Amino acid sequence: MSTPFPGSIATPFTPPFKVVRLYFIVAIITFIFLNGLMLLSSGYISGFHFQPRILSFAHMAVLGWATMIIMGAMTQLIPVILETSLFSVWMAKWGLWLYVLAVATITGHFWFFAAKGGGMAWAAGMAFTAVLLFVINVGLTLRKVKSINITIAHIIAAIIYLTIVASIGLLLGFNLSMPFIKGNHLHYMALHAAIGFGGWFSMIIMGVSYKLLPMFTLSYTYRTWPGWAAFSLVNLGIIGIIVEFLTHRPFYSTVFILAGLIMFSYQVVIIMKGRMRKALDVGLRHALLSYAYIPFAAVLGVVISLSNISPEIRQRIILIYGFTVLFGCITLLIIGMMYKIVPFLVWFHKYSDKVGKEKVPLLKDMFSEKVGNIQFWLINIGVPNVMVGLYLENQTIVGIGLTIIFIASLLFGFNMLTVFTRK
Amino acid sequence: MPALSLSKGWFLNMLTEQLIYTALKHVIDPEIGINIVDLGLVYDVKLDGGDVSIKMTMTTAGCPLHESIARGAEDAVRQLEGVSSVKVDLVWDPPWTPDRISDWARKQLGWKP
Repeated sequence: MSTPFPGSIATPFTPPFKVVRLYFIVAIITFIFLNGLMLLSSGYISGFHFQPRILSFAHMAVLGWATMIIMGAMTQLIPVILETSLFSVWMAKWGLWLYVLAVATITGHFWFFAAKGGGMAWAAGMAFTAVLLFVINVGLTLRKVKSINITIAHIIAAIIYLTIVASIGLLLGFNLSMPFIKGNHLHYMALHAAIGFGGWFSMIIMGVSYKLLPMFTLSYTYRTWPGWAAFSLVNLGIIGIIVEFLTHRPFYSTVFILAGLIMFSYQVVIIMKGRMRKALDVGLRHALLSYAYIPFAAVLGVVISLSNISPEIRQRIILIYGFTVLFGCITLLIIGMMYKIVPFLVWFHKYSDKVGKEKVPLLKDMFSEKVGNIQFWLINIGVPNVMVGLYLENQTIVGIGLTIIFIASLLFGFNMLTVFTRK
Repeated sequence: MPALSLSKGWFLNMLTEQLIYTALKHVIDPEIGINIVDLGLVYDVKLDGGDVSIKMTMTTAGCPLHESIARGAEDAVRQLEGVSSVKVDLVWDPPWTPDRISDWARKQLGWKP
């Protein structure tokens, strides 16, 4: 056994702080806006998922919050993982603004369901171009890699899936503006969502966790075969989804993904068991809760794809599944990692020259842990609350849950603002 | 960790290796919140007149804190009375292992005694 995932989160190779900071700030503002909007429009979150408001919320969450913040984090982390410079800071900087414009246009068009005219095609085209800029930038940086470790393998797979998801999104955007797809639009949309959730997000979550979790918990010597098994099984599942799409024959792909994510959970347990830092801070507690939601979401995926439940219940479970992936798995992990990464980057920017000369703050002193803990419990209550409300189709329960999550998002925003504006 | 003043004139101007270790205890890893001595990152301190030589490591290779912690160690020791030069060598062999963490630091990290 060795030290499998060494490193830290900033090096002389990393891009300028102000570029990465922009990604984070825009994503956090989008997250708060999204939660406010969901709360005000909670009545729309029920029934069939292919409807304007739900599509708008889903794309705001997936593109404007999760993918935006992952892009920023990747821009920061990939040079660290590879110990090399980012291929182009220019692409990272200007790609962001194109991406922001694309996300605003896509979510706006979905909101009003302005499918006629070329707006949706333009929006999809801009999003595809911005994603391509990111993929090319990361890909050309990855070209310098000398050996492939578990994190790099996941990142390579993730950006391949991101390209596929964006390509299908481009087709769907054009199809909404100028219908040309022979066959069911929803069939393509299901593929778009499945590769997005199962491929892009799961690969990023797993790969980044293998890098950051040992680093933040001081976990050093452990076996990594469950991580590789998870990688193989999830990828087999995604390939299965594509096979199912093309051949219309069952491949039990969601079962492979579930098995893979269970192996991932086992890898997390191994890392956590070997950690030197026993006490868990607010960031790690968010991350661990996210890891608990991941197998649950995968079980829902199996239920949706394989069980013989009634269409009405199935539709409810689809909404719960989407909400669990976006808020239980992805949002909790992002918030947890933001509590670790953002204070570090700001600290590194402001205080690294002052170590040994004067008293410098610890990372945990960069924000209010008390506010972070309140926010943690609020989101802990809010997410299951919405899930129960969606299952019961009870708008009051959904509304209460969304109110709690909105307050939590404001507290998270307050803590991030505290870090960013620290003198 | 004992709270000590590092002002010049400390302890009748006597520079000792022990005093250097004490100064190094004021260099704290900002993520872990524990000083580099109790983390076991300082392998050796040598004192030759006013010339100080420190051999140390990091918990993981490729860490950006190399620079700020090594410079922090140098600056902390340089403040001591009688120090004329400080040399910090970052080494990776032997690699750092958690066994080097002091009992006090283990307790801080949440380990039961």
